[in-house]
Amino acid sequence: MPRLSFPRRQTRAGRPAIATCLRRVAHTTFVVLALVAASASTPTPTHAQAWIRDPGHTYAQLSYRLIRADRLYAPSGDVIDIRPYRQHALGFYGEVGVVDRWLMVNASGDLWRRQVLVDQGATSGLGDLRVGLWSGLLEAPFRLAFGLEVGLPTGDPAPRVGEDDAGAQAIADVLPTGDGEVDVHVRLAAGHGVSYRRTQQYVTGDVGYWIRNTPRDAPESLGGAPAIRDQLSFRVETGWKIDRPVLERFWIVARVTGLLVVQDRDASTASVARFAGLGDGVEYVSFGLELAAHLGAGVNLSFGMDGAFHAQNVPAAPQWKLGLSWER
Amino acid sequence: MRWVLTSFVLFACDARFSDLRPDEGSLDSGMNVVDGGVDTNRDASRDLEDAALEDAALEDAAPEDAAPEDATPAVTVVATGSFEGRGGYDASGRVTLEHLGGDRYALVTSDDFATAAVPSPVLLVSDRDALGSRLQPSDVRIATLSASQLRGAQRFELTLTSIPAYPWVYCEPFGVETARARLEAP
Repeated sequence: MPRLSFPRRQTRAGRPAIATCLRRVAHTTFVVLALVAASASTPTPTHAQAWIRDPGHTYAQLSYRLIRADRLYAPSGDVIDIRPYRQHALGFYGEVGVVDRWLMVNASGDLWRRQVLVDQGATSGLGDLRVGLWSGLLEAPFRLAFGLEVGLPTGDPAPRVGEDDAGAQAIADVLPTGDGEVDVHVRLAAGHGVSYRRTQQYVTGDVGYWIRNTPRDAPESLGGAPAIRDQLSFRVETGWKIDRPVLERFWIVARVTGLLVVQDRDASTASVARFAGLGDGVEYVSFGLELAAHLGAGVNLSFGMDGAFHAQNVPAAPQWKLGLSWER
Repeated sequence: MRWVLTSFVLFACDARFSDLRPDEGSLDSGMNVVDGGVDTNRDASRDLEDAALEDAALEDAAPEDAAPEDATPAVTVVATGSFEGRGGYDASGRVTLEHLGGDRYALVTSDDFATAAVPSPVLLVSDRDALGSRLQPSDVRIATLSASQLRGAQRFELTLTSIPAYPWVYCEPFGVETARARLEAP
């Protein structure tokens, strides 16, 4: 089991509660951390890999995400009206420990992604996938891990209509299912768990540099495939629960995540085509709330939402998430 | 490295497109189409102010010694304006509306014209100062701009029954305004 950094405390009877507490907390916290990470609102899910899984320990999650937007964060950051837009995504996240403390492998992506412009058109298909390696750097006084993730362009950055219909093709052009590029995300994650009275809490955060690339394809209507500028990612998250019967099954999670363009920041290359959070010029700073419940037998259910308070080139609407996870 | 990238490209799946338009060609519905020089449904009502603007321009530009009847009609500039970005999108350059004779006009952009690269950018004219997320029957579509037409001097001929107030560049699939110019007498 992962070793969380909770402080020792005594029960009223004077017996050490730390062993029981740690088992329970480690189990639940770890599940929640991974669960929350896998269902984050970012185009590539943010993670909480400060805790490296033990060899053979596995976690898997399926999540459904929904965005219903009638407005868009324009490149200027202004919110403008657009035709009704819907985004449905069936995402997955999985991780397995390989070498104690030193190596954990993870993978994530959208197994199915459907984007709809109401009364215009829709595209659906496989989204982009990501694979990563994580290694623990510190176990005390807090957890610190280094990660390297590679994004694979398995989605379709330029859907084709398949017939000579310029109007339909123009609609398809704005509904890509992938960014079309191989990218590398270098990340550093830290985490720490604390226990106070009859509550338990964890705090985790990570910062990363996302090296972007030139898409392999782009709609002709956009005049080619512009390079995607590098981005800085960050996340701060805390989870809290009451250590009481029944209540201990529930975690309340709050977080702030961000993605900012750092390369040629003043360049104006954003376009509406990237509006689904894919491609160049995407920025956001968002907040999220989530409730996660442990159902037993390693199964967890979560529900949450994320919404941005600063963004560019993403829909101006909350993202709702429902996740079902399993671990052993 | 190349074979790795190639393998990923091969593995990638093409997205499936579903046409949800109420009927074929509905991307153009809700507005008039003048591509090819035919105004199919333009409201014939004419704003008095616009009419006065046009007539004044025509009179000012009329040559003293009229050309022979069989000669090419003189081109008269009846209105000009400058493009500005909308909705956070950049746009620049000037636009000129030329009267070619009768109900024929030409919308001409300047060499420094530039507008954002958005999907299916439609050049249109309208009397509305804000298009919102949907076009209206009174809006007159001129052309869908190709990537090469997003910059530099362009010329589009069209048929009009009145002088419009605003040329627009509009991302039609999403219903987003990207550029607008206000036409005024030269």
